[in-house]
Amino acid sequence: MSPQTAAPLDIEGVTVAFGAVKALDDVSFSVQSGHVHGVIGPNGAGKSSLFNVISGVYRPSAGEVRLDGMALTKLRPHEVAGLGIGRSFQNVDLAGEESVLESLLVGRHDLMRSGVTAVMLGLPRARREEREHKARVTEIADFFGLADHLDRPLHELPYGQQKLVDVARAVCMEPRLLMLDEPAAGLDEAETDTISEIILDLRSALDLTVLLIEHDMGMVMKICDHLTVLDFGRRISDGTPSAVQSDPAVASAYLGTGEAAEIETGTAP
Amino acid sequence: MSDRLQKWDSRLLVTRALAVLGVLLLLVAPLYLEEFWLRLGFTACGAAIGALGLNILTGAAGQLSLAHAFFLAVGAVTYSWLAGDPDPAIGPTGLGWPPVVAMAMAIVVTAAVGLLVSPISSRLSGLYLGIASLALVFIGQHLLATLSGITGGFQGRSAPTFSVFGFEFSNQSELLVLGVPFGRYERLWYLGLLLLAVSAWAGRNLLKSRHGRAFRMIRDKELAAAVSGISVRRGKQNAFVVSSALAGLSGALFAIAIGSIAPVSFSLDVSIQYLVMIVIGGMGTVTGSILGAAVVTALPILTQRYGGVFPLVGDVVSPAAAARYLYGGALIAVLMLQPRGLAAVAGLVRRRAPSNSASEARPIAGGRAPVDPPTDTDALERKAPIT
Ligand SMILES: Nc1ncnc2c1ncn2[C@@H]1O[C@H](COP(=O)(O)OP(=O)(O)OP(=O)(O)O)[C@@H](O)[C@H]1O
Ligand SMILES: [Mg+2]
Repeated sequence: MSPQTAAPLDIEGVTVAFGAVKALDDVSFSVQSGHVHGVIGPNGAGKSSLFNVISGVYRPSAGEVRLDGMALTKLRPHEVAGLGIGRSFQNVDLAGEESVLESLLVGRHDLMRSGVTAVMLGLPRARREEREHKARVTEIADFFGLADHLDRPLHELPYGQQKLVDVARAVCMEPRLLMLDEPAAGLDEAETDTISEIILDLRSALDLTVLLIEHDMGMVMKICDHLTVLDFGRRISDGTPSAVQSDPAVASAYLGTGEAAEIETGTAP
Repeated sequence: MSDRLQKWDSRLLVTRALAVLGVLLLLVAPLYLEEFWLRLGFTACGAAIGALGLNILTGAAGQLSLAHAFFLAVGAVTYSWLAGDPDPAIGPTGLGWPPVVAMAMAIVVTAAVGLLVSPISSRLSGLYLGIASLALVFIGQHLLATLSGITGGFQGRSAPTFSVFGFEFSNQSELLVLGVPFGRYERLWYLGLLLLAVSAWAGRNLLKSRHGRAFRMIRDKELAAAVSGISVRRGKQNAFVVSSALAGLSGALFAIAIGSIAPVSFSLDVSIQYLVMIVIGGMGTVTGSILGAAVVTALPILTQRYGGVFPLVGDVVSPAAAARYLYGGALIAVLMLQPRGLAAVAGLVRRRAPSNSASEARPIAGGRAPVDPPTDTDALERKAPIT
């Protein structure tokens, strides 16, 4: 496996259409390696669609996505993941009986090698591999404050911790690029602060690039190095948080959405 | 806290003791049971292996398959043909291979057939896969009827007795154990138990492994699975091949149990019976496969034999019909009372001890309990992925 370091990401002219709706319309921007890069915009702006394009779930009708110069757009989702892109989801849907540990171990799937026959026969190397990865997952869970809950079924955890598990699962993939889709949605202020801290610590401890979708402007302004703003599938602004904040195009996009005040003051409601 | 732990410990001890007792009883059973029960036991063991296969595919990986009867047939035919007598005077010829080799080949060939169809099956899911797999059953019926040189056609063919290194699983050679004659079904009883134990162990290993986790993730959240680095097609293919391999073994055991094979034994009914086994037993679990197979195998045979003790059976309804009503009733009862199957009922007794925190603060789902702050932020350092 190649040494995993933070990687720059290039989005170039990406267009995705669902019938008449253009979820993304000729969107281009670059993500610097080591940055926490925020993607913001009103509901339906195309943020999650952008993540889906990057992770290979949606195939764009035009444009290209490159990680470290390598085109991702032709790859299937698990192949994109294999290049070191971990992703958490906007909606956690954790109805299953799976324990926290098992959910986190799912993130290790591609880092593990044992074949079907080896695990069925309980070969020593398969057992050893399982042990080693459990140890690493426990370490990561510890970092997220989840270590005490590893054996609990996911659905028993409070919502905030379920969201953390989803982020932790992405981190368990040992990604170079971590994509988080609204990790603070539904969390209270204290929880939002915690997740902000976790993101910054992860970035420095693991040398990650973070791509973050978030509606909480306070959080975005606080932790992002760079922002890209989408509206109706188009990139309407791109720059440092303070530059974006004073961009009139951004203010008008948010006008009437109730988030306009947040944008200007940079505070959570 | 500590006496609670002790309580769990003693419960665990009781379960262990019960398990050991159960195994001992199974091991000495041939000394006491008559042929009827031993034969039923062997049949159930074979069915349980098949059910385990289907449960890995449909229960764990969520791929609805109606093709199980087809794969059972491939196993049964492969065994019967490879081990069959080469002498053409006694029906369709065989290759006269040692039965152990034939049984191993039944597994390999059936797994290979599973692999062969998996490019199609792994691109389909849900009802579409169900319907497509249905086609395999019909193809199987057609092949069974037409390849009469191998299968014996409509009448079917005999299936050779099993033997290992000259030890025959038949009444041929005299064998007395503690004064009890050990004939065909005494011997087969142990063969069935051994093969089931090995299959169950391997199945459990699989379900606990990265592949088992991938199966369940593909079943529950296919998209999240893919984005987490799981090749969905590969995962479905793995489940399909393992399921076929176990069906191949199960088919061979079926042929051995009956002593012959015929197309009617591998009709669509059989596929559905296997689905019933895993549903009432418990989806995605090894225990469920075994319990479900035991119930579905035993129910019709037992009602046939003992149905007479119930009023009406024999006069108003035939024992066979009574078995079907009972079967349907049991199915509905389990689905309504315990949708997670008999394994979950058994699980009420045998459950993991809860972690301490789980019992102390049970959070309200969707609540906003504060997230524990990370205790030691320096603990997480960049590590090369473990190789
Ligand atoms: N699979 C799909 N099929 C049809 N339309 C889609 C699909 N995915 C997204 N869309 C449409 O594309 C547009 C952008 O959706 P997207 O989910 O990317 O927005 P978003 O910025 O993530 O919004 P939110 O902040 O509400 O999560 C919306 O109009 C949405 O209805
Ligand atoms: Mg979204």
